[in-house]
Amino acid sequence: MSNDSHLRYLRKLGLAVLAGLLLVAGVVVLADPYGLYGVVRRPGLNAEKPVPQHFRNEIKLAGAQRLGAIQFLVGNSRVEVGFDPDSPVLGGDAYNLGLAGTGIMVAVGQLRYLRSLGIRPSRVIAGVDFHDALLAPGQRGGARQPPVAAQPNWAGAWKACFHWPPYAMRQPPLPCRATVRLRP
Amino acid sequence: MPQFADPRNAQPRADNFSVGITIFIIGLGKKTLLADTLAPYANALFAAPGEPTLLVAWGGVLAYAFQLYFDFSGYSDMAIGLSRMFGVHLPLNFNSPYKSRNIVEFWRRWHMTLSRFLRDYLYIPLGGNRHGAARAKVNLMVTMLLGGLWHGASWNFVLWGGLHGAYLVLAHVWQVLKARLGWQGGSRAGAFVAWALTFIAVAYAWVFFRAADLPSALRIVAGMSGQYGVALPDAIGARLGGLHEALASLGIKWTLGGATQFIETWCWVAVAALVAFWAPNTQQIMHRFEPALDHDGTAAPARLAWLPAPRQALATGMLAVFCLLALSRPSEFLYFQF
Repeated sequence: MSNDSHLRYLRKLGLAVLAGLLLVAGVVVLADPYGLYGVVRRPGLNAEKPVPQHFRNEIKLAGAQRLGAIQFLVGNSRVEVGFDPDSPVLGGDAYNLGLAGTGIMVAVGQLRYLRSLGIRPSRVIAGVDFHDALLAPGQRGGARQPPVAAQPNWAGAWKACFHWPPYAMRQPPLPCRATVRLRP
Repeated sequence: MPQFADPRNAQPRADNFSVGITIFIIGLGKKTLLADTLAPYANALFAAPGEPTLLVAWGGVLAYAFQLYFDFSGYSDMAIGLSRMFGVHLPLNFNSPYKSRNIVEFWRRWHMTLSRFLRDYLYIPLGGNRHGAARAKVNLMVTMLLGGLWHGASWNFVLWGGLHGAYLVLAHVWQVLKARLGWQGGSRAGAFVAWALTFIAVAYAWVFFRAADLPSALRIVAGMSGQYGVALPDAIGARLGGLHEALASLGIKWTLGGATQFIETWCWVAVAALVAFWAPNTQQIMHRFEPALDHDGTAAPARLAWLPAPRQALATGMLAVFCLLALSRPSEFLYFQF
């Protein structure tokens, strides 16, 4: 086998890898499965996004940062699938940071991170469950993660949507709403 | 290493690079596309074995058996390929061990460099077969027990080595018995039974190699032997129509949930089995270009034999792209630099 044929093979192999990677990159930018690029957003093409399996929090925070949102919806799956950030009620600039299976600690972490980037939320709507089905009877939620105190200058009002009884009990939630104001 | 002193290796050569990079990409594919994909299905069983039913136990153990093979042989291919790019031929380490028809053949094909080390530095110094058949079997057993211990300081590894030692002793006894009985074998059914028996024995031994502790290993072995019954996820049962009742009458139970995990495990095990049992291995694919130091150049070229041609460049390039995409699975997320 001549050396030329091996050289040609190496050249074609490099081109095939490059072409393959460019093709994949193009499809990813177009499909934009995590809503990170926003080049095209067309119903029937790429408007509907799959639920990410990994790095859900990071993807949401990156999306919130990119869109320049100042109103945030935080909480668990009820917020994630139950609130529409594009609702005219919110008047735009809203982003749904809700994550299925997470609690208030994750929400506080999200807001702290956004604050570290200089984003000052004008409104935060938080879904809060007062019963944690994952805890053993008598166990306190704070034992899993220390509570994080609200930072000074957090001017946001927390509109909390209380649900009782919890989802684990498979009962329809009662409509109940209250407003919790954090320390400024 | 006289290869380092070879003046032909002082200059980069296109043939070494094309052969080496192709072997490397095949190895990377084994690791990232097969082994890493199988890992979660094996981990699901071994992390919390409980009392696994027959198909769950076998699904997890087979996932591990193939994960280990593709992981280790993938790394070996990558090492062989990288060295070859610089003109250095490394020895083979795997030669389709799961195609073996007896356990002696398995150890000639699995982790070949270790097998040679154990033979040259343990078995032969212990006396090998120079002091009679009985002493040879004792030497074999000691070698395999120490070989097991070489993998780690755990009784599980000792048990694994002991099992393989016992398999090897039995295989030698069987060969003697076969010769005395004048039984030639050679039928296709006989070859199939020999292969299946070898593979099943190896799979049972892998349980002790992988399990976190002895009680877990024993529960998995019990599950593989049917001690905890046979069960299928009810989501599968609901789609079986009349077969559902027939299977239930045979004693098959139905479990709540776990259908996705069950189906994915067995689908990936099937894919891995096809590659391991049917596909030619790396050195067979690269047969024409002396892929390794101890490569048998007289063997007939395999299916999918490689040539530095455009079609192979495209196929290898696509494989490399899939491998690169699969590399994103580890827990680093580069986009989000906190």
